[in-house]
Amino acid sequence: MTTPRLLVLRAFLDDPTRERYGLDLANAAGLEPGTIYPILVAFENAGWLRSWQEQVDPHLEGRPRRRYYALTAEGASAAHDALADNARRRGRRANPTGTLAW
Amino acid sequence: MVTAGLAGRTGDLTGIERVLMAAFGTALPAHFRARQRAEWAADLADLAREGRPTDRWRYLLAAAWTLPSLRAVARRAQVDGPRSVSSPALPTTRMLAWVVAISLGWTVLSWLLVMAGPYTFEVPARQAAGIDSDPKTMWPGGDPSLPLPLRVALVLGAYAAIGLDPLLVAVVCVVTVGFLLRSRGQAWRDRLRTLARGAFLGLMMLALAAVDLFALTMFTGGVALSVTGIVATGLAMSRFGLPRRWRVALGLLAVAGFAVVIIDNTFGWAMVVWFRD
Repeated sequence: MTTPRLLVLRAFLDDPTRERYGLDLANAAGLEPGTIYPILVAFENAGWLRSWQEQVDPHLEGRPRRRYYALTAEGASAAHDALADNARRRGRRANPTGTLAW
Repeated sequence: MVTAGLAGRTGDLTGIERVLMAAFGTALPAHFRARQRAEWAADLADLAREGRPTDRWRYLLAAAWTLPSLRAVARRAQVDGPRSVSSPALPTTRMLAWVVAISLGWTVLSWLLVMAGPYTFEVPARQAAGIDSDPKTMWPGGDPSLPLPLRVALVLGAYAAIGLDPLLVAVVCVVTVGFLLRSRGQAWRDRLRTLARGAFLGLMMLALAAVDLFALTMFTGGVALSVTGIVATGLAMSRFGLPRRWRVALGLLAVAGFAVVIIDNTFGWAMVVWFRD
């Protein structure tokens, strides 16, 4: 799994109950905004994420509607596994702080 | 509203942003366009409220860069509902960093070893002694003790550095295809398709390079090297997930590439003429 994907999973797991939208998630993951959607769609296709469009009036809110994403139970489990697997393979060798090694 | 699918207000966006979003959307499967345009519109509106135009341009560039990946996953979702999150073999940032580093590194190193070094240190002494200063007679290009492929690679790298652009593009193609073929989990059909596309483009560029090399008609002064340097600079300055050491290395290679182009086109022109002649 690529580092950006792991960073996205980590951002979700940092606060699993929080619903996030694309830009917010990209910032949380430390990714370049605009690069995150292929990752989100791939995870959603795999059943790891669910997404929905918020039900607000754009004119009242003064902004377009956002699409929110949250981990499914399967996704949370898979995310834990993926991060643990990554930590096993790389963490001790290059990254004693526990953050992702590239 | 840009389109009926934008699902919201886009009044914060500029005309060019709307045009680009519409253009990006056309690259996506039809069922997915409205959803993704709404995502981009919402993000750009957020960035617009933060009032940093450069961030919006960066966002659009990043969106354009990831468009092939997005198209792939969106299309797969429509066709058969993939059950895996493994990436299709598309260029990743790390792959691009490798391609740029190898291409720039080869070009700059070749230029140093085949041109700048001999011209600075060996040619004056030879001229003073009345000895032939043809680059083909000097180290490393003319040293028979070195393996022929290495000598050829170095000499061609020097040609790429002085503006034999198709050669540099061909090398970028070959290296990119090599990395794409290395990606695991691909179907053989996808690998063959990648190989065929890369071979076609690479051979076209090599043919152009061969014509240039003998006709010396299309030397550009380093356009391809400059573009590669710009890409390296972009990677060095961006937040695409590259670690610091990579960004530093790419930044140094970019500076070296720009230096080669500047030298070749200014006070180093005599050296270029010496090498080409």
